[in-house]
Amino acid sequence: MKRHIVLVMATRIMVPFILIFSLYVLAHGEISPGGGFQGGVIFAAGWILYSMVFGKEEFYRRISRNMLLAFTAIGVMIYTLVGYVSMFNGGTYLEYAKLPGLDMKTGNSIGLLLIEIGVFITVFSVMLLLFFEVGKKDG
Amino acid sequence: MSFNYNLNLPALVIVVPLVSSMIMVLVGIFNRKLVSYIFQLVAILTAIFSYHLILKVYNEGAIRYFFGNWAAPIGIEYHVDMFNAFCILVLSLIFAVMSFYFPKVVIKEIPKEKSHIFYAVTTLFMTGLLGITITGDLFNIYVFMEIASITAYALIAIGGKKESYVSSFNYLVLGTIGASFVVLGIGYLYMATGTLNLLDMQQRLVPMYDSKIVMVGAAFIFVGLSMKMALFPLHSWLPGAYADSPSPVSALMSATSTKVMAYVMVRFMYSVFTTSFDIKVLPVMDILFYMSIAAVISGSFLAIGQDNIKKMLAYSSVGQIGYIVMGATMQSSAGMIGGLYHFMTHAILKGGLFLVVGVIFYNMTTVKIVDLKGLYKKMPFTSFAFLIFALGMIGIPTTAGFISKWYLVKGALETGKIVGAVGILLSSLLTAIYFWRVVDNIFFYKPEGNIERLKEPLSLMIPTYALAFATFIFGVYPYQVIDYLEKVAKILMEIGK
Repeated sequence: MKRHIVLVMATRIMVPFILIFSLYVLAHGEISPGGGFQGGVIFAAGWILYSMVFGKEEFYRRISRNMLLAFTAIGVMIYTLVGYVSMFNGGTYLEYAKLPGLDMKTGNSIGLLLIEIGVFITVFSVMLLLFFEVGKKDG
Repeated sequence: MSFNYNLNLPALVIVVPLVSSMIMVLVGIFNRKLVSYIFQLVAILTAIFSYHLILKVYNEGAIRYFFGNWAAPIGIEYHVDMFNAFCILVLSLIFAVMSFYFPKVVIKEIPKEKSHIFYAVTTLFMTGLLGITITGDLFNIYVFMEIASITAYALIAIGGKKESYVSSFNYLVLGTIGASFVVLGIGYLYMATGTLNLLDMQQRLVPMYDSKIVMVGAAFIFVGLSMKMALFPLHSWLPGAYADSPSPVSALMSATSTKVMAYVMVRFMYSVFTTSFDIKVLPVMDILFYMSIAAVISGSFLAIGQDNIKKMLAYSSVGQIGYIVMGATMQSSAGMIGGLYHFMTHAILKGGLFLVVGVIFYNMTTVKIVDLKGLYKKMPFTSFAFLIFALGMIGIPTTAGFISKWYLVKGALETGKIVGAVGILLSSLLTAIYFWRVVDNIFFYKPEGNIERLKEPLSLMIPTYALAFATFIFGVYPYQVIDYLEKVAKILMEIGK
């Protein structure tokens, strides 16, 4: 589809906005509808659009498959790491108020944002992997 | 401001395997060999945590661990009492013993490029099962149940055989139906009470026993759980799932997964509903009791007809889960002790049997019973281990199987449920028949073709014999465990009143 000038141009214009929008959804997760899961899905949708127009190879040139696999693990690890940090800082697991340098008020919002980032990373990488693995030609 | 090990024990049991499964994925991309060592390390760590956990519960009483320090009805709670501390210890010890068995078999049976994913998924599977047992939150039970079953589908299919895809899909469909029944039931209970916390719900449910919502919810939950644990008429997914999966997977799954569902059922019967509900309002106890007798007998009958040893053991599992349910529904403390003792015994015995079958498959790539003729000459240690486990399954005195059956029969006689005792004895007889067929083939037939000693790797033999010794230890010295379980049964009977 690389020759369709309309598609190519439209994608080039839209993809950056989709990606930015996903970050907005992520950042507003704790106070309004949205969050890591929704943001991750939108982020993945942006890349899926990109790779539908420019091809899978073009996408894998930017982020390799192993990198995507690693991202699925890294996201969950960020989530759990927040829990571990609060645990090793004298609190219970995922007690945001006990994150270093934070109190009850700031901890709850920043801690939540941190775990949402973890969710975001895992969701977008899993979505992309699902899309590419199901779309494989050789089954 | 420092790390409080004792306080955080309940969380550590879950989050350490959870995060390590992710570390395994990450490490596996760079170095596949390292992953199996991480796997063993995690298994041992989990066992140590759960050992400390049971000590703490035994000395200080039940633990309520609040996630993120949000108090109970609002936040998620891990509730550890003597009952689930025991189950957690059994699960994690079995996991630790089997983790040493895994590497050698995995190299043989799992495609190389998937081996690190295999270890990660196995760890995640155990995380799910441990999570189901430890949590004190109904919806959390469902979430962990989904983790455990989705990973189980993947583990069954990972070997890449044609039949394993079919069995995995079969399990996927039936398992999903079971899980959605459970979540529907939990939804109904939530609708009625407005809480998801186990302890909170028990109190709020008591005045509502006549409500139709509660009854429908309970019915959904018990049917869904029966499906997940393969209680007799709903067992059709189990034989395929155990027989067509790679041998380490069938060993681990048969030792752990259905039993955890039995645990959840006991939890629901005694901690969420009370016995007055289970007996008078909705006669769950009686229905499940008679179903478990049907399971015990028919599972053994079906096992007799199999020519594939893994299928035979799988059908035998269908029968054995009946013992646990029977013990739990007998309404006597001896029966409860027997059921819980069988929780441990069956994990040891059936796990061990599948380990033995794994060794046979490792050397001969066959699971047909007729191919085992004269196995004694080829693999003496493996054959001997099989004999020990078979004796345990039948329930010969000095093996652990005897103790659990003794208490089950005692409970049946105490409560006047003679049919239960008859069922157990009949099933033991049938068990003797189908195990004798295999033992006969192994020990009393001349092998066909040339006889040569096949290798029995030490890393496979040590876990197998560890379980074999456990069979005898818990058959000869059951007192400590029985003492402990007596207390558990007493607590369950009390909170379930």
